[in-house]
Parts: sequence; C-alpha cells; structure tokens
Amino acid sequence: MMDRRAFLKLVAAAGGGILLGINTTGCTSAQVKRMRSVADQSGAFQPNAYLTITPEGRVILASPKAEMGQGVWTGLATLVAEELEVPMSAIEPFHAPAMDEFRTSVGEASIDTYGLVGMQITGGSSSLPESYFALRRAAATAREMLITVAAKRFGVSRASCVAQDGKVIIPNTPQALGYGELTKEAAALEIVEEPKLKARKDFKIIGKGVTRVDARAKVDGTAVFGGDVRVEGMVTAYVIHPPTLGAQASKVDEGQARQSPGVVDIFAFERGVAVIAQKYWQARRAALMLKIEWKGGILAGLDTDALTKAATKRVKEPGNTIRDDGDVDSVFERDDLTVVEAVYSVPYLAHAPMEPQNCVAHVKKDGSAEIWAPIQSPTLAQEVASRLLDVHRDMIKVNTTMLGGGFGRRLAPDFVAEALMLSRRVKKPVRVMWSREDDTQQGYYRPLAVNLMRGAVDKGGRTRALLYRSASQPIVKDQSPFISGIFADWIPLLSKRLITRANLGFINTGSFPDILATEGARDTPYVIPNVRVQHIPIRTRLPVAFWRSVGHSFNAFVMESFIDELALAAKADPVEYRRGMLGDSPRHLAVLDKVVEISGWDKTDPPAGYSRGVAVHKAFGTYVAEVVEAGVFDNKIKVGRVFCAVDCGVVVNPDVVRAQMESAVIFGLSSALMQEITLKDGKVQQGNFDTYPALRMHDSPRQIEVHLMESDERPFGVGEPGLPPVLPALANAIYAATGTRLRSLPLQKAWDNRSSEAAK
Amino acid sequence: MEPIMEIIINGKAYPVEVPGDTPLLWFIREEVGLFGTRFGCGQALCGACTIHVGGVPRRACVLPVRDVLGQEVTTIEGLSGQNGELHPVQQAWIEQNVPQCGYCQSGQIMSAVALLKAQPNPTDDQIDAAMSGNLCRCGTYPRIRKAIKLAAQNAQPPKPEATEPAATKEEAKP
Repeated sequence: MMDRRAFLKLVAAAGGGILLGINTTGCTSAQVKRMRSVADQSGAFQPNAYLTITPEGRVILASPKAEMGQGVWTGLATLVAEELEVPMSAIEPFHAPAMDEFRTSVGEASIDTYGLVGMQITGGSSSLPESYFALRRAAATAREMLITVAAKRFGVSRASCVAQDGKVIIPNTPQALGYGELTKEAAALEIVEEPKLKARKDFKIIGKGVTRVDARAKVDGTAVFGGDVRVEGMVTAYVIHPPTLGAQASKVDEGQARQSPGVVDIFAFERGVAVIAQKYWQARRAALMLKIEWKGGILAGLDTDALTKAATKRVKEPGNTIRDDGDVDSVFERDDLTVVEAVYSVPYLAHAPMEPQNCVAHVKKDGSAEIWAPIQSPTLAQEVASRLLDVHRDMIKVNTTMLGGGFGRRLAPDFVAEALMLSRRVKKPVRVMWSREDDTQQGYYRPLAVNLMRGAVDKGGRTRALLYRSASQPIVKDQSPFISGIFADWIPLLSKRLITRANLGFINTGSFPDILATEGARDTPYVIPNVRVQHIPIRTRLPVAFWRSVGHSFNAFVMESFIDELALAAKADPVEYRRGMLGDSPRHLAVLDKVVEISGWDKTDPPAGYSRGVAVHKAFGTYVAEVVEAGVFDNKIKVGRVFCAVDCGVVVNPDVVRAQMESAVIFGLSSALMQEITLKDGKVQQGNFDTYPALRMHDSPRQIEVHLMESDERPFGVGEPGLPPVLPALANAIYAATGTRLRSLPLQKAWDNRSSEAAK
Repeated sequence: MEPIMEIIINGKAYPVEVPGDTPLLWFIREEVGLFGTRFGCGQALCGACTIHVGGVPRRACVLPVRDVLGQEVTTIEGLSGQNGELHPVQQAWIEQNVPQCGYCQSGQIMSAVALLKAQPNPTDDQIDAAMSGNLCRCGTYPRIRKAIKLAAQNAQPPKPEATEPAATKEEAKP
C-alpha cells in the first residue's frame, strides 16, 4: 500500500535528472526502469510521468499544470477518465514536482501559444491544447497494457476484453478484474507506444457535464493553499517592503519590536526589512513598531501621468514596423476618404488574486532547497532558486500548492526568491506571507499602453487603410536588477525556442517583446488592403509581466473600439461593418453571428436605459464574440446582461468553458470599470481593495449567457479568451447609450473626466 | 470575576494564550490549526475570513480575540455534520460547480449560510446586499447566486399533493 507521500518521493526521485527526452508517453529505457522500480516498491503501475494506478485501484494523476481555478485538473482528469475507462471519482490529481518530462515538447505545443516550449509552465490558455492528445495517449497506453494482462489471466484474446469502469471485463460473462489486481504485471510489460485513441462519437465523458474534481475540497475548507503548509521548524516572516521599488533601508529604529512576543530576528535585506517570528501576527505586531528610513530605489520618481502624456506625444511619431501591407501613407493622403484618428490609453494593472503572494522556503545545509508556493511554473521557480543559491536546479525541490488565483502573476517568482533569501539568512524554513498592499504594490503589472489608431473609410463605407501604433513596455526583459539575473538567462532561451517553431519570418530576439505587445492587433482578421502595425517600446524599470490575456487585454479594447468608430464614419451598423471585413475568417463570423442571435442585437430592445455594444476577438486559438448591455445612470456606468459566443474547438468540459467565460468577463469588467495602478514619485498609489477595487456581487452582470459553438476543430484553451472582447463591447455599449466615446481605461474615470474626452 | 479565557470554536473550547489584540483569524489558523478561514486583505474589505460569532457573520481578520472571549464561533469546518456530511449550502455549491480557485469560497459560504438563516427565500437584491462584502476575483458571482437559490429551494418542505387535504401538510414536514 503506497501512500501519497511515498509516491511523491518516487516520482521526485525519478524526475530528478534521470529522465531524458521529452516524449511523455514513449518508451525510453529510463521510463521503463522507473515503471519497474515503482512496481517493485509498491505494486503500483506507473507507465508514464502522468499516471500511477495503485493496487487499490486509485488513479493518481500528476498534473504538470497549475490548478488556479481555471479547471485544468478537471480537464486533465476528464481526458484520463475517458481513455482509461475509470469514473472521474477514481482520479486524484496533484501538482507534479518539477520534472524534465513535463517541459513542453515542440510537437505538443500549440502554434498559437508562446514561450511555453521547454518549460513546465501554466499560461497562455495552453494547457488543454497541449494536453488533449498527450493525456489521452498516456491513459490509453495504461488501458492497453492493463487489457493485455487481464486477457492473459483470463486466457482469452485481447479482443475479447473490454475496459470499463476501472475493470477489464469479458462482456456478457461475470469475468472481471479490477485494475488494481493487474498493476504489478502491467508494469512488467513493454510500454505501448501508439495506443488506440477513442473516436469522438464514442466519448462518454469528454463533452459532457462533470463536477469539478476540486469542488469538494474548495467548499469544505480542506484545499491546501500556500499559507496552510506547515514545515517542522518553520518560522514566519513579515516583510516591510520599501515605499518605492528597490529602495534600501538606511536606518531601522527597532523600538520595542525585538522584545515583542515570539520575535526571533529583525534585519534589513535586499527586498526590505524582515521581522521573523514564530507566528504571523507576532511578526506583524512587531513590524508595526519599526521606524525605517529608506534611500534609493530603481524607479527614479516614475510618474504614470507624466509617462502617459509622454507616450501620447511619442505615439504620434513612427515606431518599429512589424507589419506593412500596401501603402497606408498614400491612402491617408487621399482627399476622397474619411480619415478617423483616435488615441487610446490603458493603465498598468495589478492582478489582485484573492490569495496574496506567499512562499515557504527551506534552504538546507547542503545547499539544496525546497519550496512550497502557489506558482504557475516550477521551471521558473527552479531557475530563480538555482541562480540565487548557485546550485544546480536538480537541488531545488518545488511543491506547488493550490493557487488562490493566478492570472499570470504567479509566473514571476519574486516572492519565491524573497522566501529563499530569508531562509538562507535565518537557516530555518521560512514562510513569507505578503499583505494585500504588498500584493498590489510589488510590480509585475500589465503594461501601460498608449495606442494611436488611424483609419480611412471610402464613400462606399469600406475600410481602405488602418494604422495601429502602440507605445508600451515590453514584458520580457531583465526586469529586476535588484535581484540580479532573475530573468536575464531566461529570455534568450524563450526567444530561441520560438525561432525554431514560429512560422512568422520577422520573429527574432529583438522583436519578441513586440509580439506580445501587438498580439490581437497585428494579426487582425479584418480584410483591409493597407495595414501598418508599429510598436514603440517604453522603457521603465517598473517590472511588468503577463496579465490575463496579455497583449490582447488592451489590443482588443483598442481594435474593437476603433472598428466601431470606423463603422460610425461609414454610417454602418457595427455588426454589418465587421461582417463586411471578416470574409477570410469564417470562425470569427460564426461567433459574431451567434452572439447577435442570442443577444437579440437589433431584433429586441435592451432594458430601459441600456444599449448594446459588440466585439469579436480571437486569442490563443479561441474565438469569442460578446455583446454587453450597458448604460449610464446618475453618471454611474452600469452593466446589465452579457452575451458570449465561444468557439474553442472540441469542448472537453462544457461547464468549465462556461465558467471561464463568466470568469473572464467579470475579471475584464473589473479592469474596464474601476482598476488602475498609478505611480507618483516612484510610489504606487494603490494598496488594498479600497484603492484597487474589483467588481462585487451587486455590480456584476446578473446574467452572463454563454453559447458554445459546435466544432470538430482541435481544442484550444479558455482561461483568457473571454476577457479581451468584454472591454470594447462595454465601451461600444456606452457610446451607443450616450454618444460619448471613451478611449481610456478605467471607463468610470474616463466618464467622470469626459469633458476633456472627445465626444463623437 | 475571572474573565473567560477561552473561545468555543465549532463546539470545542480553546484556551486563549495569545495577546488580546491578536485577530481571531490568526488565532483560528495558527493556534487552533483550522486553515479553512482565509487571509485576503486584513482590512475587512474582501470577506475571505468570514466566520460566525453566535451565528452572526463577522470578519475575523479585524476581530481581536479579546472581543470574542467566551463566545461561540463557527468556521467552515464546523458546517459539516458529525459524519462529514456537507451542509446543504455546500452541497448546492458543488451542484452548481461554484468554486474556481476556491480561496474566497469559505467566506462566501459562511455569508450565504447566514443569509439563508435570516432570509430563507432571498431576493436578488437581498443576495446582493448580503454577499457584496465577499469578493471573488474568479467571477463566481452568477453561480453563487444560483447556488443560494438552489439551497433555498432544497430547504423548502416538499409541497403536498394538490388533491390531498390541508391537514397532510403537517405530516409532510422535512
């Protein structure tokens, strides 16, 4: 009988450097060796890195993907349950340790995702497209091998046996063997390399309604988040971070803090001043007694107002050209066309997951380390730890806890580095739990961006030219000079991988940041004869990172708002105007038509005071069209119903897709209506949920109707694509309701300041 | 008079040996070792720490233990029955696939249980008013609303057959 801990030990041992190669279901000798060894030790059957079937018939699923609410555990479990022929309830997912086998292979990465090759990482809505075949193959392999063993035991041909409900049976006979009875012998076989996968028409679980595998633990309080981890000998750190990033404490007046109950130590370090105590409140109580003077900082008095003004000016001049079809300049010079120009601006944004950043780190005497944290990439955590501690990454053990929201923020391992620094210093396991203010103020934001749009419409209402020019801070660069080298090596690796698999000729190390900054704009589906896309990199030392849907998070707002402005110039209905330019994109058209249908676009009246706005956008391989009903009442923007049509290819978990659309809509509306990170004199102005608010029950749309398109196309992910269209759909609805075009976010602020906004 | 230096949590008395200013949240998590009540903001702005004191929903992150001495506190762990049966609200939550990341859900459920005790059949406006103190960054609000209504519905006594006399209503108690 093998318990979870023993299994984890085995998996970790096997994963630590022994395994080469990136084929998760193949038959490398190392995988066979591991399979035999696991069976010897525990009787369990572990044909690949994903699956372990125990002698009790438990199916333990090592998930290389982080469950942060998006339902990936449920998705992976569904794929396994389908091919392995076990009930969902038999599957126990857990977060896999950092393993070479889980570094995404070229063959399985989606062409529409980026930067994920060669890393164990969750992001870019890529988990499902990466896993759809990989997990099914892993499960089918196990199934085939179990059938082989059972057939031999029954003394019949394999063809006489059927896998069903966790057993191998001979139909119409009482002959049945539970998988648990077959595990030892299965592990003695050769690993099946090309197992037969089910035909879609035979799916029993994929595409059907299932209960989330993590629902129970999340309603009874037993789900284990980072703050719940207890390690023997652990102490707790409360870190006072500087008021401006990178500042160092020049003077620390401790007062009575060191005598405060439970306090173990107080000291300044690279990331601020740490109070170490036995318990959290002891540390925090003592921290409040400190008087600290700070000096320096890396932001040089950064002021986002001034930055926005400077970017607004700069964006009027040319930038780096990324796309240049036809000749936009001569088209704009024509005097027989209507030229529309507009400048859009969006602020820095924090992610604000419900769980503040936290990490337990234990740097051991031999230089190895172990961490427990809510992270989206064990690879990145290992890289950071390895560099910080100057040890090989195999010396770093990574335990991913359940994530209380990710949204991209948990990719940046700054909080992991912080915990490691403290543990190394105090020579004990240390838990760091950030405050909400810390979580809001420590950077790694969605970048600020100012976008110039110019379009030309002819007398027939056709768009002849489009210029998109964006000034924004590239995400991927050396962002944390005060923790030296945290990302530097990682960037070239990312770019190199992309070069080998990207089919776009202009990708090179220098342009890679521009791809993220202009995604969702440079690849617009609209058929326009002359298109120019330019990017101007903004350079600040404020760390920026991946925020749910990344470049799409503002490019859809810009593009789909501007298309409405062009529709107005063409005196056309916004839907018809789009339809006229989507001739090359049947899947865009289909979701657009569907959302028009389900919202009643122009066939029914919206509720009194509300008008409708539409947007259609493809992100990460998934197509989403949305209609938002909104109005302004007593100068307050109110959102009514939201309608959403989504085409993500084959649907694995319909309810998860719906939930992710609801999630992205509400997350997007929070940013659309009420969120911004601003800095004055290098200090972030926002702190807790009073100054960085988010949508609550009472101001959320009461109805979000989601329609899933039927599709045979390969599946793509849904964690992010529902977000981009909601912002422009809302802005378009506000225009329809009020005649005022809002071009900066957040929209409530833009509305309040609208005397300086151009109306119409 | 000796002050009562204990707090009763989920029916069990725990001695309070920490300074009185310690918030109940951290007493629950670090002294008692119940982790289902979560830390989200420390300023009673997000509701992740919602528990009941004498059945009334409170934010534990700003409630010093000295103010709760001798009182009965219920946490998420205390909602289940003796044999681990889930509370009807928890069951409704699962039925509607409410949780996503799950971090806010203990607080959401505690607020919903209190709402339904006070308003067995809450309107949308009453749901808004009771639940708006509980933030969810994953956007589960529409499902929370549905789950509250489902739990309300499930708690209704079964309706009698139309043809049966009124007296049978008494016998059909749940």
